[in-house]
Amino acid sequence: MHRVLALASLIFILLVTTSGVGSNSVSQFRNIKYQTQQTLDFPVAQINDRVIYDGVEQKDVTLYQYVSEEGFPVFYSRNVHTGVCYDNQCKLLNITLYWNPTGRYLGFELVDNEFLSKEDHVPFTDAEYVRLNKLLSDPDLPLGAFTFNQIAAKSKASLYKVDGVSGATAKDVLEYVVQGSAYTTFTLYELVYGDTKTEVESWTNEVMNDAYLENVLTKSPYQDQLWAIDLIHGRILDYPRSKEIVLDLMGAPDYSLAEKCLNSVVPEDLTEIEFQNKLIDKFQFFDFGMKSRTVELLKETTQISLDVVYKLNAFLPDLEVPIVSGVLDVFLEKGIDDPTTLQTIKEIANSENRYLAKKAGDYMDRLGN
Amino acid sequence: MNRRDVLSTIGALSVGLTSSAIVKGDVLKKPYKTIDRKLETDILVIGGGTAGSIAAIQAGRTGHQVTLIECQSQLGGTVTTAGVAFPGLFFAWGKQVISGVGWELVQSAVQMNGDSLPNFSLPHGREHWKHQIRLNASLYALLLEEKCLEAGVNVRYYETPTSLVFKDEHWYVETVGKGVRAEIKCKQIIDCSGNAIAASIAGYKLFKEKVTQPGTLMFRIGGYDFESLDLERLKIAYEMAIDRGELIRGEFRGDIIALLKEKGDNVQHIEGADSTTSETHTEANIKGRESLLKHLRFLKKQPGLGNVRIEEMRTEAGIRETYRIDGLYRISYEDYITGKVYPDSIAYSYYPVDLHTVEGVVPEQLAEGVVPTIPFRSMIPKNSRNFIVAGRSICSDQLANSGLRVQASCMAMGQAAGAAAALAIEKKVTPSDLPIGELKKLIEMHGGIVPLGKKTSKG
Repeated sequence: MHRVLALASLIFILLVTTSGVGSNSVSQFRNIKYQTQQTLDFPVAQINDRVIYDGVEQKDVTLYQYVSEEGFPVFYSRNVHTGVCYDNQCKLLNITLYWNPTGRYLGFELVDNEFLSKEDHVPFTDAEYVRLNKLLSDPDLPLGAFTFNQIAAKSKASLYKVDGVSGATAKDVLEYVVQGSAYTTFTLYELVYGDTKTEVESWTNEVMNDAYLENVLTKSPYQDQLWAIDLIHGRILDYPRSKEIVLDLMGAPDYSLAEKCLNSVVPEDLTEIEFQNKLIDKFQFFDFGMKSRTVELLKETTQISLDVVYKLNAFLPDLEVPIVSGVLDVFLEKGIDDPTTLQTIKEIANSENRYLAKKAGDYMDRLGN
Repeated sequence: MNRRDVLSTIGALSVGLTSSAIVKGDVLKKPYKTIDRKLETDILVIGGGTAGSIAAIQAGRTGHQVTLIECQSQLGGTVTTAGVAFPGLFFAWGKQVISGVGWELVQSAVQMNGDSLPNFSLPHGREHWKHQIRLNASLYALLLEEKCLEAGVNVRYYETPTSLVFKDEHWYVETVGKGVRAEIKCKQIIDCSGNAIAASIAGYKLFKEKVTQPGTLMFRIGGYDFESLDLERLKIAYEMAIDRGELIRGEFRGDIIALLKEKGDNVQHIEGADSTTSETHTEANIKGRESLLKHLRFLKKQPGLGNVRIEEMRTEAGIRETYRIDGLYRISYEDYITGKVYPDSIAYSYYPVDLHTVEGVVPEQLAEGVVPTIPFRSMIPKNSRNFIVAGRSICSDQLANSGLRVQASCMAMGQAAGAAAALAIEKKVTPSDLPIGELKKLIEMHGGIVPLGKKTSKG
């Protein structure tokens, strides 16, 4: 894409981003353009480019990165010039696709006077563009599980009058495509979720820093937050400000957000005692599964601080039986034998639950005086 | 060894062979004799599958003596031995509805295998399997065994019950295993056989549909490039093979493309598959394997499939449905789809109504916000004492059962059964007389979730 054209597109994107949420029909503009929610709404100050290989088009293509003044990737784009071929016929697809820095689909744009068409070259209606944009924005769309071969099989099926007898029926595919444009929808879906997406994520990862992560974790849509949390798995100590946000999000009411935050932590992270303490401060608010996971992390880390030991001691009476059992394992493994802990364990040894009582008794035999 | 040594050794061996079958290193054993064992335990869990292994761990964690007998060589049942290693559903409408022992193990298996959980906050829509959790079945079996042993459970593989007699407030259970006959005296029985075999032997009434859901042999095929196949030609060849009587449409749901696309994953249907006895299970396994072999031979003759091969196959077929007990309460389809909550609801069970037939399966998703529950009474056979059933054999009609039979629900039922058996011993009552409030509290104290229960165990 020529730089000027890219900048024109950029201006468009910034214009239509103002509403921020959902799909925007922009048929009043000269070009046909649709987009979804942006990860971050920063003004673009610079455009970088790099050549990547795209497996769908099977050739080298140029990927553009749009960067803010702070050096934050704002979005990415690339031009697509490819044939959509079926039944020995090909139709040229000339379109610009946009991605968010997290690899999430951002939108598409057609160059001047270009339009997408269905069978017999009937142009898409506004509603069909909206539907296409919606389909492309769903990373879990079952269309992703289809193959071109399966879709192609549908058209030939009628020749043998066996369509619907076996294999996924045409009806199955129709739910996930713009009607009359199955191949175009499928090709675009493959392009959106293919190699370019991976390249986008990788490029963003290369320039990732704490400030950028902080913005994504606090200001971006839900899916982008999850992406950022996945990204910092095992690297949380490298991002001090983001680390605090991740700790906060462990208490989020959204289960997956909270669970992913906890699972981004690896045992090595707990070697930082301050982090270990902060994690245990969250512990009492965790559900059973997250408490279980935290105990596993403590088992696998090399040391636990005395503060953490005291806090766990205080929590013990209210904890679920398997968690108490896990905490005893942690204490035993780390050789915890301070008087407070031994007193707590002595009380557990008198517990009505014989399983816990036996475990605590064994502990006292090993480490008690 | 030189030539002379070799010859002298052969000579010695020849002498040995003519005089006795013993050579150096062998030990003469007396003729084989079955060992008789007399064991005593608090709780006997029969069947170490999806529900039974969880029930045993839960019961063990209450501090009672627990013995678990399992007719196969490992724990986990359908998840591990049958290879249906994608349990679900633990979440409904963005909230966790099944936790506790099962969740603890699933979470550990996911973490240890370097996998990640699906996003349960995003609605699954019609694709409920998106919220199922792919597990490494072998790892899950190892973790189950470790947790059982850690909870003090006496695990006895290769054993199955042959007789159950109740007298003087105890059960006397005879089992047979490899070279072992055991008589196990216990206070409470939890039948997690999946077929209610123990309930049947004990003389309690069972139900079975005239037509049960088919079973499935899990396997994986490979050695072909799906994208390069001429699917239309293949469909036609498949239809022709069915017309000629070479293949049976129902064995792969009439969908040869799905067999190839999914590489065999959970696509086979074995009509009438029943795991209740060694004879019926043998028949189901043979039918499943014959069907696979037949289809493999057919596929190998098709263009692009000359190198198709089996990459993995589980040792036995997974069974969806056999017998259900006649319990104190029968869960109906209506109860299930309306999410009825009972005073004695001890677990949630969230899954669509999922009746597999010869034609295939079209799941009926539950209406938004609906989460069915399991009443404890449905786990107790009528006229029984000190006897609980957990898993797919609980008292329910076929449609309700098609939803509640799934693995996460079985885990929740297993946990409830383990807790109930322990509490019944402590209270010296039969399970039907248990104070339900105390049972719910005990389940929660062990991390389980009970319907409408307040989180009594949280700090």
